[in-house]
Parts: sequence; structure tokens; C-alpha cells
Amino acid sequence: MNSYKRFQRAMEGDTPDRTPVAPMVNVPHASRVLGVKPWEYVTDNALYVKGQIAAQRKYGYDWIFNHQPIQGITAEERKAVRVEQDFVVLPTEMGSVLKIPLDGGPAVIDPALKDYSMLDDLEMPDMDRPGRMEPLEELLRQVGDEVYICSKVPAPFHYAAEWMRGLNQFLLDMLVNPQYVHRLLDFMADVAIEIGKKQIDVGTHGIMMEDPSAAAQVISPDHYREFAYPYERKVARALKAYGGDVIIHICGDTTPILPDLARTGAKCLSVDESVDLRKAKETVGDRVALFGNVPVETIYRGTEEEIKAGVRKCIDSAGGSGYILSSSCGLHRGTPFKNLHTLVDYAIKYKKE
Amino acid sequence: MEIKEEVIKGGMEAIRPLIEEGLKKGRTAEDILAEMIEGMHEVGELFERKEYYVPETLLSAHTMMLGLEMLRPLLSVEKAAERGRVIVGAVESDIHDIGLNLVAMFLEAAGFEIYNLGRDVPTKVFLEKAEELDPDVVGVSAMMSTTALKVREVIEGFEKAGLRDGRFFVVGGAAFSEELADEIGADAYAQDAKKAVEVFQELMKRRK
Ligand code: B12
Repeated sequence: MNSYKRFQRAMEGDTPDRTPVAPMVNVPHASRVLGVKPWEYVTDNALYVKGQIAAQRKYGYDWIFNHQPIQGITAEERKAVRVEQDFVVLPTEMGSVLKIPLDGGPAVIDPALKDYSMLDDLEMPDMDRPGRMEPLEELLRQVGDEVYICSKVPAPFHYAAEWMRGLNQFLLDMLVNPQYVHRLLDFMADVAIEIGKKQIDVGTHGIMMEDPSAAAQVISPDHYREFAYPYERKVARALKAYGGDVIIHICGDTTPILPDLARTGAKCLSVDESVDLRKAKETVGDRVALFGNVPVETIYRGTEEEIKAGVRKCIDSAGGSGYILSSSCGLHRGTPFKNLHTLVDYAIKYKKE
Repeated sequence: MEIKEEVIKGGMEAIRPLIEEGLKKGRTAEDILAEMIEGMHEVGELFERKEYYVPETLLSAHTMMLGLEMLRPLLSVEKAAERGRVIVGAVESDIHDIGLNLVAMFLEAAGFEIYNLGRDVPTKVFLEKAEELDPDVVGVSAMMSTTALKVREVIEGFEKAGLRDGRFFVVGGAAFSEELADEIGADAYAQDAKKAVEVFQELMKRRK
């Protein structure tokens, strides 16, 4: 059974030949595997593809997380990249400006929506621009027969918050201007659907929607249900109807909202280390596959034995049908190669007791 | 106690007329401020108990800020200076700023003179601001294991520049523990915004 098939099986809730292994390898880690700066890696489609494949080959995990939210960089965007002394500035087609430190991943410095009066002028990113789908096309062409390619779509809540308004402002908006917030969220859901459909047309195997701003440490379950859930659901349902398989990731102890998440239309839920996988399996395991959750902290600085114990705990709790082993979140910058090798090698070998 | 209630509820619209009314009736600005601080204190408790999450807490803090703006011209300047001058920021490469902003607002609410440098602040900027403002306390936030270690660089930067003496460093954020704070040379650690206020007040007492 190859990696693609194995991952696919688990997504369906079936039992593959062994636990699929899919750590959340992000910009800082993949660029380091390739030995280039993170910003070079995200602003060059060819390097990006090379880095993704190099990392997958190096470790032998089962997926590739095609993690750019609005996909490949276009010629216009590339031209607008500004290299400063200690960081790089990257304006995006959504109007938000990203900053990429020389040794870290991108973050928004200038959110796009200064004022809700601009709401009706917001434009969808044009997914037909040359370069947009280049990374996905290349990944599929080069390794798509063997490896599961999972592409990111921007989660409405997170991107409305971080990219469009700035999270602090957005959280206030929720209480003060809920009607505008809902309009923005609805627009962002349309953006995600547009991007997801394009990915499905090109042939992506899976779709990842990460919603960390809706983390359980940040908003209450009630606010999750009012502001995040309806739009996650709108996106997941639309993409499901279009033939897509969606994974949703939210940080924090999402135990209280797992039953909601299971109703979004997502095929699989990714949880961080605050969630007890065994309990999650009991509550929603019959409806969705699960994905997670070896603590990124352990992978970053745990001993070999601690990393192995982390893997065992996950597989013993949730292994078998409908389970994919992953890190609890995106890997820490500076996670030693050796540690990730330990995780992947051991997870491939280990059988549930 | 209406003012306190509005702070707790986050009544951004109601707070100003209520303060105006209070002042008209002859209450002092200090008295009204004390009532608002009491409200923020309760908000801190609600947050601790997970009855409030970040949005509710931010709204209360903003309500308090609106009130504070009205009162500031009426408060005696010495009082704020007495309570202490503080700069806070999240260390370079750390873009988590929710907790940082809450801490900044709680400190401001408690009467500190506060300068929030925001997230992703290079050591250089901490130093420039310290030179300019001569703060009593420097608060640094780091949410990740990687960035927590960078806080050591900030403190060392202050030492090298001769700006460390006579100043306290307080650190916080998910990556810290009491021990780690100690290890990197900080003077104190606080695990949440409410605790932060107590710690800062304690340090200011030590100073006198
Ligand atoms: C929301 C969130 C985000 C948001 C941040 C948005 C924003 N504008 O702040 C987004 C999605 C952008 C984000 C990005 C990332 N995140 Co993040 N994030 C979180 C999350 C889920 C919640 C943080 C939060 O806001 N909590 C609520 C507030 C109120 O609490 P708080 O921040 O702890 O603050 C309180 C106290 O700590 C204290 N305090 C805070 N600062 C200070 C300062 C002083 C002076 C004092 C006295 C006290 C104090 O008082 C505050 C109020 O009570 C945490 C999970 C966690 N366990 O904390 C992860 C977490 C911090 N993130 C993490 C990581 C790794 C990342 C990323 C690298 C991506 C990734 N792999 O997921 C990027 C990094 C970006 C960067 N370069 O910084 C890790 C860090 C792990 C580690 N030990 O290193 C965590 C712990 C998640 C995890 N388990 O992996 N994240």
C-alpha cells in the first residue's frame, strides 16, 4: 500500500496497513531541509515544490502539506517582494501585507480591512493567475501518485481575524459590530470555497482548513458556534459537495466543540495536545477520522524515549481505523531533524498493543 | 457601583455619561478610577475562571480605557508616576499579542504609565525606548520556546548598554515558567494579566 492509499483509507474511516504519518511540516522546517531561507522558499514556486518533496523524501512520511493559504506566488506578487535588512515584506493579492523574518515563518503585519466600509470593495483572489496553482500542479505531477497531497484553504474566522482585521480588533468587532463581522466572515468563506474548488479541479487529494484564531484559549464555545462554526461548515459542506475531503484543525482544548466540528462536513478533525484522543475517538470517532497530536514541544526538545512514548500514546488511544498520526500543531522552528526522524520511523513501525 | 458594572459588562457607550454624572455630583476622579479598577479586578477573576474569554475581557479593558481617557486630565500626574512607568512588548519573531495586550491594558487600568511596543519587537527597539522613557519595569512576552530564549538576549542587551541597573524585568507568556524566567535572568514572572498587576505593584513597592 502506498502513502496516498494509506492516508486516503484512514480519511474514509477505514483501517490501512499501518498508521499513516503526517507531521505538520511548515515553512521554517521545510526551508531548512532544503537549506534556503524561509522567505526564498515561499516566494519561489520551484523552490517551494523542491523543499516539500525533499522533506517528504528525507523523512518518508505519508503526505505533503501544501501549506500556502492562497497558493503559489504570482509574477506580480513576486515583483512586489521587498527585501529589508532583517526581514522580507510580501504584499498579497488579498491586500494584507506579510512579513517574513530571515529565520522564521510569515506573519501578517498589515491587515487589509482598515474599515468595514471597504467590505464591499474586497475582491476574490484570482485563482487563474499564472503561478497560483503551479505548486499544486507540480506536486501532483511529481509525487501525486504515491503521496497524499493536502492543500490548505484559508479558514474564514482565522483569515478574517489575522489577515483582514488583526486578531485583537476582530475579537472586539465580534462584540461591537457583529453584523459586519458576519458579512466579512461570509465573504471569507466564499474566498475559501473558491480556492478549494480550484484545488479540487487541479486534483488535490485533501484540503486542510486551520482555524487557530478560533482556538479554545481565545473564544468561548458559544462564540465558536456563532462566529467560526457556521463558516467552517459552509466551506466544508461546499467542498464536500464538490468532491473534496476536508480536515479541520483548531488549537486548544476543543473537546466541548468536537460534536459541532463533526457536523461541519469535514472528514477528519485535527486536534492539539490539550485534547484526549481516546475521549475524542469515543465522542466523534464514528463520524469523522482523527488527526494528531504528538506535542510539538516534545518533538522539539524531547528525548528519543519521550518522542516514542508520545507516538505510542497516540496510536494506543486512537490507532486502527480512521486515524492519522501527526504533530499537535505546526512544528516549532528549529525542531532537530533527528527528532522528526525518530517520530516518523517509530510511528511507521509501532503497532497498537 | 454602576460604573464598576459597566466595566465588567463592557458598556462602552454607557461609561462616559456615567462618569460625567459622577463628576458632576462631586465625586473625585481618583474615586471613580478606584471603582473602575475594582471592576477590572473582577474581570480578571472571570477570565481566570473561564467565564470570560479574550473578546469579553478586551471589551471590558477598552471600556475602562474610555473612562480613563476622560479622567486622565483630572488625575494628579504624580500619582501615575508613583505607580510606575512601564514598557511592554513581545520579543522579536513572536507575533502572539493577545495576552500581551491584555496585560498592557490591565496594567494601564491599574494606574501604571504604560507604553506597549506591540509584537515582534527587536532588542534594538526595546533599548531605544528604554533610553527614551527610562521605565521602571520592562515587561517582555514570549509564547514559544524558541522566542522565550530570545528574551535572554533582550536582558543581555540592556546589560551591555548599561541600562539594566535600577530596572526590573518581568516576563510572561505560555512558554515561561517560574524557573525559566529565573534562568534567563528576569526579576519576576507572572502567569496571567491579573497576577501581572500584583507582581508589578509588588516590584514598585520594593523600589521605594
Ligand atoms: C492564538 C494563537 C496563535 C495566533 C496568534 C494571534 C495573535 N495575534 O496573538 C496565531 C494563529 C497567529 C499563532 C501563530 C503561531 N503559533 Co500560536 N498559539 C495561539 C494559542 C492557541 C493561544 C494564545 C493566546 O492568545 N492565548 C490567550 C491569552 C489570553 O493567553 P496568553 O497568551 O498565555 O497570555 C496570558 C499569560 O501568558 C500572561 N502573559 C502573556 N504575555 C505576558 C507578558 C508579561 C510581561 C507578563 C507579566 C505576562 C504575560 O498574561 C496573559 C493574559 O492573562 C497558543 C496556545 C497556548 N497554549 O497558549 C498557541 C501557541 C502559543 N502557538 C504556538 C506556535 C508554535 C505558533 C506558530 C509557530 C505556528 C504554529 N506552529 O502553529 C505561529 C508562530 C507565529 C509567530 N512567529 O509568533 C505554540 C508555541 C509552542 C511553544 N512552546 O513554542 C502554542 C503554545 C501552540 C502549541 N501548542 O503548539 N498562534
